[in-house]
Amino acid sequence: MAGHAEDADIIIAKNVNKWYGEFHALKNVSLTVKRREVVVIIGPSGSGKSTFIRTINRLEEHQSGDIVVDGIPLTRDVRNIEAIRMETGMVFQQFNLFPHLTVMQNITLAPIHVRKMKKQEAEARAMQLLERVGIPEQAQKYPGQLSGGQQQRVAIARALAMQPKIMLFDEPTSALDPEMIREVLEVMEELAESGMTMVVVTHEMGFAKGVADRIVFMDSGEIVEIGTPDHFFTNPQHDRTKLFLQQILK
Amino acid sequence: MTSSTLSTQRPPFYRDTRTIAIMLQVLFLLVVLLIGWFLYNNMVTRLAAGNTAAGGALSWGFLGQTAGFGISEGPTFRPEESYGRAYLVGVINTLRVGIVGVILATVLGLLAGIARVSNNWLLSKLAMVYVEIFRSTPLLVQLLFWYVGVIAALPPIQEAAPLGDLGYLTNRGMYLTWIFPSETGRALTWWLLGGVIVGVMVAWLRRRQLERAGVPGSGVMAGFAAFVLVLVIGFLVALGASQMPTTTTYELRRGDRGALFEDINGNGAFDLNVDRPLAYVPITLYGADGQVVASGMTNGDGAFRFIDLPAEATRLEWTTPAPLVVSEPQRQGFNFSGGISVTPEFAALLLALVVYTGAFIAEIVRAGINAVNKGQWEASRALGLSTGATLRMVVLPQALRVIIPPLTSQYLNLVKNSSLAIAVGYPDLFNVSRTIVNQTGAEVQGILLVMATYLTFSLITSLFMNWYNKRVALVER
Ligand SMILES: Nc1ncnc2c1ncn2[C@@H]1O[C@H](COP(=O)(O)OP(=O)(O)OP(=O)(O)O)[C@@H](O)[C@H]1O
Ligand SMILES: [Mg+2]
Repeated sequence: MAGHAEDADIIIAKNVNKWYGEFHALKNVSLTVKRREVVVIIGPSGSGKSTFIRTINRLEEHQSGDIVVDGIPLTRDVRNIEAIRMETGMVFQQFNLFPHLTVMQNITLAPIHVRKMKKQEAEARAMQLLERVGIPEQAQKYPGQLSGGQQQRVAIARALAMQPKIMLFDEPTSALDPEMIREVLEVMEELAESGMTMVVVTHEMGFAKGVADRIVFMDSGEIVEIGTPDHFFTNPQHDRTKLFLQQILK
Repeated sequence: MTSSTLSTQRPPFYRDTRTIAIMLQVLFLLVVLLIGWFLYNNMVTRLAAGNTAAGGALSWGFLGQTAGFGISEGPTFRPEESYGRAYLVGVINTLRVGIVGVILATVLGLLAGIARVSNNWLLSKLAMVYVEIFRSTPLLVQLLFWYVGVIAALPPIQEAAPLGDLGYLTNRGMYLTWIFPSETGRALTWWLLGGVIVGVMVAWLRRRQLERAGVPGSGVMAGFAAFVLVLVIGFLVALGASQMPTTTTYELRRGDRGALFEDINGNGAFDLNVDRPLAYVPITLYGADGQVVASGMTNGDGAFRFIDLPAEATRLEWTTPAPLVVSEPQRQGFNFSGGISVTPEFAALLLALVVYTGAFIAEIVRAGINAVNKGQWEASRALGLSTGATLRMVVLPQALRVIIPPLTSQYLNLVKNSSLAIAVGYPDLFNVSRTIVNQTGAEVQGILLVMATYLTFSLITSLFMNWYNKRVALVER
């Protein structure tokens, strides 16, 4: 069950299809992500970006196609699903911090109860992570007492506390006021530099240009185009991509 | 500057929001007082005209008079005792069924509520059927169903089969194996009480200490540990000091029954209210030829009685019991001895209250769980927590905020609904109060007493639940 550490491809999605009732939300989506790679997914609203990254850790079930994460095939086997969830951290648009727990408890909950880590050790590691995201002084506060940017940084620390090999971000800055977007992006940039494998759905084109190794453009449930930022912003191949870039960069 | 001058400008009093608010409240108070005065006046006039046996106007003297009736269950009550004490026995009986009922209804409601939101189709439909059936039929009907349809249909005592080591279910009640403090463990009751007090204190101190240190957490674990420690110490002390009184004496009548007691007045005979009965002491009965004819244990009142002995017993020996003893129910002719018994009336009332209230609580729990944002489930699952762990550590703690206020109403309903006891003859406070009223004619006093008692219960419950609600409230900015 342990991942094949030698494999360069850490996420393999092949011909993934997903329907919501009659609605075909993902159409033959195939994408391979290499270790230490940062992949940014962009596309218009409703194009299936969230749906796709949520199939990777089985928050959504896909109906056909294969997904393999770090050598673990994503099947209906609960053990595989749990193993994959332990390898992938996820950061949500709405933070989804646990409001009844302090920042410290938010971060240590899963390490203590899933990884069976000792409380002291989990707390020491949580403090390190809080320092890494720049808010060690907030450890004993409750999420409701923090600003949006601080909450999202806690959410990142919470995901990192499980020592994941992959981080999934679903529009992590879309719910933030402009002045807070920067602080979250900085944390993500630092994370990318440290070599974390990341799949990021975002509308932040600056981040995509500066940090992404590859950019994936999705529209109507399909992957339309994949390319390096350079290629993507200077020489897009498809009309749909051009139209989308025109709209957001105008 | 301008704002301060603005705020000191006073409008005419009838347009001033502050005086309007005060005047409305004063007006409301006046109306309430007026209605209250009218009702009271009316009642006093009626009482004076009717001049009841209880001595006209609201006299409470009857509470001290001899009751002259017995009460079938609850704390021992003899007819020579007063109406006041009879009422108290009723209050204790209400509390018995109320407290046990609230706890069991909470457990049942929680399980059924969780079952309703579960992904398991069968489980969720079963829970739905349960909720719909018991929520939509009258409680009184359900009570009679349990009493007449279920419990009365159980086997009679002579045919009852044992439920493993647990005890017996019969149409005359349940007889269950139980643990009791014996003669040498009498002090354990006090240790238990002390343990609770120490536990609560330790929990409180620990919480304060944690708060000062800025560490989150409650003192519940520390308090519980202290409680257990006190109990263990109590048990060990009782064990070390276990000794039967030097004047232990027995009375043996008709060769098969009698009592074991501390002969305080030294006259060799058991005198009620003077000598002290010795509870749960192992005894062995010997016949005239020195053969063992029976062995067993005294009951909670120090008495014993055997049936169908091979020979008459002439002598008895006892041994020093452990502080706690396990007593199993044993069939003795048309009855059971040992263990604890639950009457059909108590069982039916408890069952009805628990099942009925549990259905409402299940709906409350379901609504509470559904009120928690879906993102909370997703975040927790994405971290690798299982469904159960997510429910326990993430969802339920947040659902509590939504659950507690309506849950409080259900607790109050359960306690108030226990007055339906009168339908099956369980001697709760209302039932006892009716007997008192019938005998004394103190109609108004009886109703006032009952109302005041329920009001007190309700206020205490509400205060406790409000306090608890504050504790689980979320910290906001
Ligand atoms: N639970 C659901 N039931 C039915 N349809 C859904 C559900 N979730 C998503 N969809 C549909 O699937 C499509 C893709 O949704 P998705 O959330 O993946 O889009 P997105 O690219 O993330 O958009 P956005 O940028 O607005 O977040 C949308 O048309 C949406 O309406
Ligand atoms: Mg989305």
